[in-house]
Order: sequence, then structure tokens, then C-alpha cells
Amino acid sequence: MTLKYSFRLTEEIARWAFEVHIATATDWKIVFTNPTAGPWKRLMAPDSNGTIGEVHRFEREEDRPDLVLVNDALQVLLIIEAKDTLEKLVSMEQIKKSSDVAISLAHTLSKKEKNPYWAKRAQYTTMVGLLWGATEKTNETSRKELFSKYRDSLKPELHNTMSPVLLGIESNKDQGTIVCTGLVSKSADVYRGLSPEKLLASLKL
Amino acid sequence: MTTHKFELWADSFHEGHWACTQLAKVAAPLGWKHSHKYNQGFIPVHSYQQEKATIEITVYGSYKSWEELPSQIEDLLAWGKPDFVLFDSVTKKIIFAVEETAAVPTGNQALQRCERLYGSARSKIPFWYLLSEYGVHKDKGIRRDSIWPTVMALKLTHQHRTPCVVLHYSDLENPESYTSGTGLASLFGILFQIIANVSSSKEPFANLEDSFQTQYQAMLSFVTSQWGNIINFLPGADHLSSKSISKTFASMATNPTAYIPWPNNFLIWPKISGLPKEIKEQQHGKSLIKHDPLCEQFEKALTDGKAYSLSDNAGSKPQPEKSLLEWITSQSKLFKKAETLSPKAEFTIKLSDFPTSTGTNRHVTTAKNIVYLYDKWGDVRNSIEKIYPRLRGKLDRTKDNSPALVYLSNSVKPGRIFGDPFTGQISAYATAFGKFDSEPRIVLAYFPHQVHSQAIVSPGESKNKGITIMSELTDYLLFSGGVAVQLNTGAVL
Repeated sequence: MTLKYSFRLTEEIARWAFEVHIATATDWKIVFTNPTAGPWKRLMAPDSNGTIGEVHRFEREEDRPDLVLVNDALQVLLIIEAKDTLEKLVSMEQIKKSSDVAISLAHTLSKKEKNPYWAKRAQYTTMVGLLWGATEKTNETSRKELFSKYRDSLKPELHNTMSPVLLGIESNKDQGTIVCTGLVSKSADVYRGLSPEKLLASLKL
Repeated sequence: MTTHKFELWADSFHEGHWACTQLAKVAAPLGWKHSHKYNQGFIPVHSYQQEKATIEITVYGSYKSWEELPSQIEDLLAWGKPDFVLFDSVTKKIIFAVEETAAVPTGNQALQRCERLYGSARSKIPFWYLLSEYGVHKDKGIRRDSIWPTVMALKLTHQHRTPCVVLHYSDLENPESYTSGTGLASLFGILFQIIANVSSSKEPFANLEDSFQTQYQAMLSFVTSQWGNIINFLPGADHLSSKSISKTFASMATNPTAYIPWPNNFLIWPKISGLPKEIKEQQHGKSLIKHDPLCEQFEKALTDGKAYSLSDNAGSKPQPEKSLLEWITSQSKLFKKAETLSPKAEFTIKLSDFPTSTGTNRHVTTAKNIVYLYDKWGDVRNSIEKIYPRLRGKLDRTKDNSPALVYLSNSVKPGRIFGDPFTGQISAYATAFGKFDSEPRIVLAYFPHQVHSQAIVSPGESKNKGITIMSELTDYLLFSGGVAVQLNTGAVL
């Protein structure tokens, strides 16, 4: 199909394409997304009856992740940082910022057991995800470097409150569409009964 | 079965997708069935179907993500980016534009997006601005929205004879709640009716005068209940109690060619002789927080009966010394890079000019007023020439008897004056206070802590929205060192 308008692979498109995939093809729930504006500055989740309510409200100047997903069957919370390219995720400033945001949000949400819209999710395993756009597939070396740097930055939390497995999502521009591919930092780690293969299968990546 | 195709261009996919979902909610009771799919796996396409008609809306999210936008959309975005814009791909016309915000309506936020109202109105594009009436401030107190976006919208409706509407959501018990108050349902109710009209080849506003009247009544009721909390005098306030005024505005919006006079004196800020006695008596210049010789003249003009102000409660937001030093250094570099002027202008801003506040913070606020309404431009010009003699003979004397508006921004950070919130503020104040009244005010924007070179656009360089807006809404920008710029001609004086 010929597109009426050509698009650039921006962070917005890379992230949105993944969100559409999650919403249409998986059991994961998007509980927070961080587009440029609009009524979405709150982390919202459904209670056991499916009624959606506020779990957490970010302060105006507070750094926010780009996407937060939850999977009730796997009992996993996924905090994702997105950029239009992998290179932008690798800068030391970005790594520190994204790690701090993930650690801070994970701590906040782990104390929300009394919130009716979060409740048992406070005990879920937290994972960190990194999402980037790519017009050509990235190579293994650059992905390894990315995962390694984030693992170093998150080290005090990994195994302790967070899964040691990091998830990578590459949104590839392929002709007129976007194909999302999932990658994991360490294929051998099983954390709290969740293997990387099971994680990728649940995300249909 | 006919299908009418529209494109919804939006600031983000979420914004466009959300708007289409809201449209579905109001369309359902009217018998329209809604469904959606994704073209290319990520481009939302929403369909609304009735027995004999289908409306199809394709969402193109994130303006910057597209190589080539329709030129009509591109032109509109140069004046500020609305959150979503509906484009008719058949007629190639913009049907409407909408700005909506979850931001708390306090401080600068309230006026921050007002340039978008102006940008749409000047192109006769119907515009709606949806914002929270009540918000929770950082201090946890409840704040209510400013009247200026609404006043601006009323004046633009008349000036451009096209709908320019401000709607509020939330209420006192549920601040910032989209589902409280009437704004959300009212907005999408009228938008869907317009879409249905266009798709069935009717006039866009056919049979909608009552809906417009309801929306304008809500705006007027808001001004009625809120203006006394913001200012101490609203010209023609008596009109607010008239039962027919909302119908007048609805007619102005929907009948662009009918002769509909502006309600006498309503929202026309008068010359000093037209002020109520008690307001006239309140006009006294006050001391400045941070010294500036021209601002001192503005304050003196209040005492001398040459100008008046509406309130004097601009807050002081002291800035850290470290930031100030960085900004002053950057401004100095910008000044040195600019061409030498004749007579020569001097860069004189220094850290010690800014009085210390708490800790290592320093005050940047000069006067507590940011708007002065002068009876005569000549008085403003004389003050400028007294403080900045290098401008003697350079400012227009032929309009000395015209009324004038002085807008003051104390910002020190380079580059900010052509972005948010200043372009929104200037748009709101210039429109509300008379740039386009029958006796138009000369508009001067004074930036005592900014350098003029930021306002100069080199040949081939694209203009930012601030410069685009100010080219049309100001007569002069006046910068540190007494350098004036006329953006409409590009003259640097």
C-alpha cells in the first residue's frame, strides 16, 4: 500500500507503533505513556473489576518514563525509556536519567499496595525496557554495549528489586510500516520464574 | 453509501486517537457506529457509520514525524501548534483546530497557548480551546482559570467573524477532572455535528446556532463570575447580564457576512477619561523590585495620569545567581555578535543589577505591572527617547496621539521571549487590550534583560512562531541598551 504521506522514524512513531502492537496483539496493559501533551500525565490502571483509576500522578517538573506496561498473568511491571535511535539511549547523561527514573518509579509503585487500582501489583517484578527506532537493523555489538551500560547503572537494584534481564525493543522502519523486534540482555537468566523467552513470547515479539 | 474522508493532524498519536474516541462517544447516541483499524500497522483510521453515510478520519500524529504536511496545515502551525486539526482531504480545507490542556491554569500556564487562538482566527479557522477551570497549585491550593483567554476569544470572534471558543472542564470539587464540568462533552458534541454537516455537504455550522449560543453563554458566565478576582475594572461589564449577548456572539461566529455591531464599549479598554472615578484614583506608580530606568518612567506615567494599569500583582520569581551569570554571559555574546548600530548601543546588563533575594537567588522582576495602557503613544515615545537618547527621531511620531499598550517581560534567559509563555501572553494582551479595536493601540513589548539580535532573522532563515506572532501583534520590540526592532519591516533602530 502506498502511503499518502511519508513519515520520519521519530521517537513518537517508534513508541506509538509498539503501543499499537501491545494494545492489539498482547495481554499487556499500557498504564502510562508520555506523549508531548494531553491528559496522560497520570499512571492509570484497572482494578479487579476493570474500572480504571489513578495510581500515580507525576509532578509537573518530574522526569517520567516513556511507557509503563503491566502484565497481570506474569506479574511483571515494565518501565520503558524510548528514543528515536539507539545511539541516543547510550549517552551517559541519558543512562543516568533513565535509570534514576526507573528506580524511582519502581520504588514508588512498590509502596502502592493500598491503592485500589494497583494493590497486588506492588509486589510485581520490575523490568527495565529500552525502545529505539532504526531505519537499518542495529548490530549485536551496539546492543550489547547498550545493555551493559544500563546494567552497570542499574546494578544496585538488579536482582534486588529489579529483574537482571533488560528488554530491548527495536522499531524498524520497513517500507511504509514499522516492525517491532524484541531482544533481551541475557538469554540465560530466569528471574522469579520468568525466562526471557517467556517474556518475549508474551510480548509477541 | 457515501464515505467522506478527513485527516486529523495532531500533536501526538495519542491526542488524535483520543479525540476520535471522544467523537465516537457523542456520535453513538445519534446512531453512528464507531470502529477503528490501523493502516500500516500504526496509523489509526476511525470510521463512524450510519445507514447511508460513513465518515472516515485518519490520524496523523506528531506533526514533525511527517515529511510533507498539507500546506494549509503547515501554514497554520507557523502560528503555534494546536493539539489537533481536522483537514478535509476532498476540499483541502481545514475544518477546525483544537487546543486542549491538562496543565493547571495558574501563573503563566493560563496564557501560554493563546497564540494558537490568534493563529487560527486570523485564517478564519474555527478554534476551540479546552482547559481546566480549576486546578491544584503546587501549594495544594485550588486556582481558577484566568479570564484573558476567554476575553481574547470573544474579541477574535468579532474581529474575524469565525468561532473562537474557550470551554472549561472540571469543577471546584473535581479540579483538573476532564469528566467534570460541561466542556468536554460540549466540545466534542459540536465538533461531531460540524463533521457530520461537512460530510453531508451542508454548511459547517448549519443548525448549530443554539449550540454556539450555549458555548458563548458559558464563556460570558465565566467572565462574569471571575473578572473581579483578576482585575478591578471590566469595560462594559453591564453587557454580561444581557440575555441577548450570547446570541449576538453566536451570530457573529456563524454568520460571517451579516452586520452585527460590537456591544457598545464591551471589553474596549478606554482612555483614562473613561475610567470609573475610583479606578482613576487608584493609579499610582510604585517602586520597582529591580531598578530599570524605563520601567520607572512607566510607573511615573501612572502617577502623572498618562497611563493606567489593571492590577499590580506580578509575582517575583527570583533566579539562582549561577543561572543569571550564564544567561548574562550568553546575552553579552549575542550582543557582541550583532552588527554595530548607529548611534552605538551599549550592553550594560550585569549581575549586580539584580538585587539579592533569599540565599543565592536574585530578583529579576522590575515593575509589578506587566501591562500599561497609555492614552498617547507620544508619551511612551518621549519616555523611551529620554532614557535611550540613541532612539531620538527613530520612533514613529505620526501616531503620537494613538493609544498605546506597553507589555513588559523581565525574562533573562536567552531565547525564551520568542517561545512559551511570552508569545501566548503577548497574543492575549495585544488582542484583549486593543491592537485591533476601532482605535487601535500601538503595541510596544519591552524586554529590558534581552538582546535585540535574537529578533533578527537572516535571509533564508525560517522564523520561529514567536517572531511570526510578534511581527503581526507588535509595533516595536525594545531591548536592553535601547535597541528597538520593528519585526513587520525588519528594521533595527
